Amino acid sequence: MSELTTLSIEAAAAGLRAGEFTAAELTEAVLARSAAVEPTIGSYLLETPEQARAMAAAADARLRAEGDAAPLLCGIPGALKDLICTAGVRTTAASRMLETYVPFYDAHVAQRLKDAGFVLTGKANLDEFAMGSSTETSAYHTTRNPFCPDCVPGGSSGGSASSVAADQAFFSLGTDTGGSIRQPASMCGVVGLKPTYGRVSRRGVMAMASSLDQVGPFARSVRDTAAVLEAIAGRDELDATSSARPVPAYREACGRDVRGLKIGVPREYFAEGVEPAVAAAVRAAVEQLVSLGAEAVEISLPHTEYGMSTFYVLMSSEVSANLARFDGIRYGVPREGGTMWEAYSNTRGQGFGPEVQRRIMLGTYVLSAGYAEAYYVRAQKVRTLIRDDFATALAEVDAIAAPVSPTTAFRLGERTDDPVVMYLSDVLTLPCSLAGLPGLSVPCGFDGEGKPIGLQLMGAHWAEETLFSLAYALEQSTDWSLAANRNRIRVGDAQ
Amino acid sequence: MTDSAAQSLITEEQVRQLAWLARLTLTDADVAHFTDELGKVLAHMERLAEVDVEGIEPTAMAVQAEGNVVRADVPRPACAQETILANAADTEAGCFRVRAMLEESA
Repeated sequence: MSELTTLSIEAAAAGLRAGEFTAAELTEAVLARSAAVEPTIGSYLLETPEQARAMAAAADARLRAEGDAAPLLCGIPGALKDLICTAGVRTTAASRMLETYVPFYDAHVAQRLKDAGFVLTGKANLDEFAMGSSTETSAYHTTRNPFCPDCVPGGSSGGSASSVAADQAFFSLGTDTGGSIRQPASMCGVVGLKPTYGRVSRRGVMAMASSLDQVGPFARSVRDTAAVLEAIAGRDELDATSSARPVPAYREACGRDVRGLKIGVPREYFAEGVEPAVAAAVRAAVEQLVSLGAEAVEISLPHTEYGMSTFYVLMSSEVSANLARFDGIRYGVPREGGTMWEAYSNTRGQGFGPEVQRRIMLGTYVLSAGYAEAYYVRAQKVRTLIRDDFATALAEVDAIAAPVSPTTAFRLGERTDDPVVMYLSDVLTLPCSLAGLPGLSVPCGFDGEGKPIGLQLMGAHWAEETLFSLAYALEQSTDWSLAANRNRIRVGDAQ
Repeated sequence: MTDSAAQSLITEEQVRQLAWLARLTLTDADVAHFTDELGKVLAHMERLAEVDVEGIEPTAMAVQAEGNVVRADVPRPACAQETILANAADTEAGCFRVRAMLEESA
C-alpha cells in the first residue's frame, strides 16, 4: 500500500474516517518508505518509530471515539526540525553541545500537534543551531536532495524539506530566520511558509535570533501547508510576541479567486547572480498568475542590496546573546578545564562547530564598545528602511513575487569554503525576514538538470491567506507540484 | 576590496580577545582561519556605511507589538526539581554543582 504515503493530508484524513485504512497502517507505510530512502537522503537526526507506533495507536482509538470530530491531523505522520524541543525525545540542534540533551517539555508547536493527534516520524536534520544554508554545518551528517543526491537540500531546515519531498512524512515543521524554510522548500520542490513574525509561538524552539525566528510548515501541496498552519498558529500565553489575532481558516483561502489581485515584481530581485533558469521560471509563474486574472506590475525595493549586511549584523548580535546560555552546566556536554572560565571556554570551544563560533564572535564584535553604533545601531536603522520599502510597495500591491534562491540546489561541499558565498544563498529571503512579513515558497518549475525552482510570494503582515490563494491558483493550473513530479525523485523506486 | 585590505579589518589579536569574551577556546589555526573569514564578512558589512540613515529610527522588532502583555499573577504547577536537574552533568543536594568562581586567597 505504498500509495498511502503520497496522499494529501485531507485525503488521508478522509480515508482514516471512512475506515479504508488505520493510522497504524498509514504509519507503517511511511516507516517502510523511510527505511527505503533514508540511507540515501539522511533527512533525520533521530527517527522515532516506537513513538510513531504508539501515537498511531492512540490516534486510531481517538478516531474511533470521535469520528469526524477528531482534528484533521489526527493520525497524520509529520517530522519536526531538531531545533524544536520534544519532551522525552533527544533534541540536539544538530550540535555536539546538545548530543545528550533530552528536553522535559514540548515546544508549543509540538504540543499543538500532539493535541491534534499527529504521529511523530522523527527529528529532522538542520544546520547546527539553524546556522547555515545547506544543512552541511550539522555536526552529525549531511542530508541529500531527493531530486539530486549530489546536491544539498538547502538549509537550515534541510531535513524538514527533504523528508517531505521524499514522502518520509506528510508534513514537517521548520524554522526560518532569514530563509531557512523558504530556501530548502524551493530546492526540494515542496511548499514552505514562513508566517508573519508572531503568528506562531516560538516557545520551546531553541532561539537563534529572537527578533527574526519564526516556525512554519513544509508540505507537498498548498492546501496541506494551510492545514498545518491552522493547527500551529495562534496565541501562546508563554510567548509574549505571539499574536492574539484570530487564526483564519487558511484552507478556505485555497481556491479563492485571484482575479484583480495586484502582484509586484521587484526589479532588484532579478539582479546579477540570479541564474537565468531561475529568473525565467519565476517570470513564467508570474505570467501564469496574470493569465488567471491577476495583474503584475514592476516595483522597486531600493534597499534590497543592504539586506545581507543588515541581517548578518543583527542576526549575529542576537546569536551571541542567545547562545551565551550554553555553558555545559544545566544541560549540554561539559568539558574539563583548570578554572571555571577555562572549563566554560573548552565546553564552548569543543561543543560548537565553526559556523556557530564565527557568528558568536561576529556578534560579540559588532556589539562591542566602539563598534556598536557603527554596526548594530546602523543596521537597525537600515532595517527600518527595508521595512519601509515593503510598506510602500504593499500599499500599492497585494503581494510581491520573486525568486526564493538565486540558484537551484548546489553541490555538496561547493560553498563550504567561503562564508560570504554561502550567505549569498539567502540574499533574496533575508529582507522579508527583516520586515517580519510572511513569505511562501511554491514550486514553479525545474532547471535543465531537473532541479526544482521556487517562487517566493511575500505579503503584508498577517496576509498569509493572500499568499495561499495565489500559490494554490498557480499549483492547480500548472504541473509543477511535487505530486506531478515524483518521477524526478532520484531515490527509492526511481533510483 | 582586496583580500589583504579585507583582512586588515580585524587582527588575530582582536580575534583572540573576542574568543575570550565569548568563552570559546580556539587553537592557533582556528584563530588564523577566523581572522581571515571574519575579515571577509566585515568587509561586506562595511557597505552599511553607504546608507544615509540620518533621522531614521532604529527597528528592534518589525511587527508592531499589540500592547503590553500581562496575565494574572496566579501560582501554577511547575516541573519537579529532579526533572530540571536531569540534564545536568553535576548536581548536589538538589542544586546544579559548578566550579568555584572566586579564588580562595587574595
